[in-house]
Amino acid sequence: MNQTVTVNISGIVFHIEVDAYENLKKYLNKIRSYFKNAEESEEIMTDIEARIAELFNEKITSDNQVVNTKDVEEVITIMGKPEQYVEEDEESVSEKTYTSQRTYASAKKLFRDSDDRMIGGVASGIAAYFGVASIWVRLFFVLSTLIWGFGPLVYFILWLVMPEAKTASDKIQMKGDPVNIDNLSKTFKDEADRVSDHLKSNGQQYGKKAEAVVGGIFNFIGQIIKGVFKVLGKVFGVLFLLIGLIFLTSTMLWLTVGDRTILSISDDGVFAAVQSPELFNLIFPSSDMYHIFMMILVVVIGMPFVALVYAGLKLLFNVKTHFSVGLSMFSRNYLLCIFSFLCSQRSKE
Amino acid sequence: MKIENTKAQMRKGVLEYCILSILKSGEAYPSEIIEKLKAGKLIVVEGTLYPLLTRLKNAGLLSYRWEESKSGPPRKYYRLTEIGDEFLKELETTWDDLVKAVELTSK
Repeated sequence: MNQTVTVNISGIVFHIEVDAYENLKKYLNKIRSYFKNAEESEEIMTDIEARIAELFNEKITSDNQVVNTKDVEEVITIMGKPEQYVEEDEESVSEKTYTSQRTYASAKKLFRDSDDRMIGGVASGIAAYFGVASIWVRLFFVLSTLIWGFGPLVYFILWLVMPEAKTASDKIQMKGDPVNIDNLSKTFKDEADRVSDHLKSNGQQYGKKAEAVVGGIFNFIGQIIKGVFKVLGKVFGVLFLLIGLIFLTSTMLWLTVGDRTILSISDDGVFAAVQSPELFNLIFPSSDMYHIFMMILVVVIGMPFVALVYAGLKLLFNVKTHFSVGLSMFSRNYLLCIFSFLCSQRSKE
Repeated sequence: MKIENTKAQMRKGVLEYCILSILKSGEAYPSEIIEKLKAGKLIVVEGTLYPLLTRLKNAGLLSYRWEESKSGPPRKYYRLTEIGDEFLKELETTWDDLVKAVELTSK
């Protein structure tokens, strides 16, 4: 008895065995990762899927209504592995290598390494970025937790902000090698080797047992930490929301009510509003300039807090989209604001 | 100097030329083109064709229209554009020159 799943390929419904489905998915993802940088990727994928649907359709008869592993293998043989396309289509090699080398040769990106993770893959991602062994970064996190206590917070924030390395090209960028066909196939090969190594080591009883015990312990710890982080996430969500809202409202109030005051820290360390119109008149010759400056100031100061409120909401209500996307959008706007402000100042001079 | 590279480059130019030649006599959908190319041993795997067609199309040499198919999803029927036609004519001349050059030099 075999379990099947229903898939829609190019608008046609197929019943496909679970194993066959996994193979097909892997195959399509692999192709996709080869064309990742090409603009035409979407279109090529659609065309290839349409062809696959056509081939499956030929294999389906009234006696055999399910696509099985053998069918998928045959189709993959007909369509060919992405490495083969590239061999036959030299232009895409040179083009791809060229563009990718130009874009990514020196560009390393910070990703979470989900292949080598204890909790969220943050430490191993950072280690890959700096090219050190992940044990050192992990050690740092442990020490910073035990000695200074800020470890979990930093880790948590990084977890949220760092995207996971999902595709092969992500993984290469994470390690900083140029993204080209050679490296892609190297990564695939490494992956295959790792899997086979894993299988071999599983054959050795002792290794397997030890692995299971250690893996179980870490998994358990991981679960606990994950749970703690989930709770922490809610707590931070409330905190973010409160801080953000309080600050935003107080800034608004300060601007509308407190005319020409500065916030300063008094001797006993408390924020106090200082009224000093003389000082402002000295800095800003016209009141128009003062208002413009204040408006810019609100945007500059307010933006991070809007982002904070946004982050808080996301954390609290567990919105599906990764909030770092929104956050980076905010920070981009933020930098843009500061930049344009500086430009306008310069042009005044 | 790798023999594989040289071979691939030779085949690549010819491959584009052949695809355009196939479409010269009228429109065709990818599987038809593939059959002819396979018969000529120009390609081994079908996947090769799709990126190439998309690239030729984006370069303005080909255009396509959709047609419903009884045996599967709708098919893209490709045909030469005017630019493609011009392109093919130039390739034909180049090809003739090349054949002459090879004949001449290999005697």
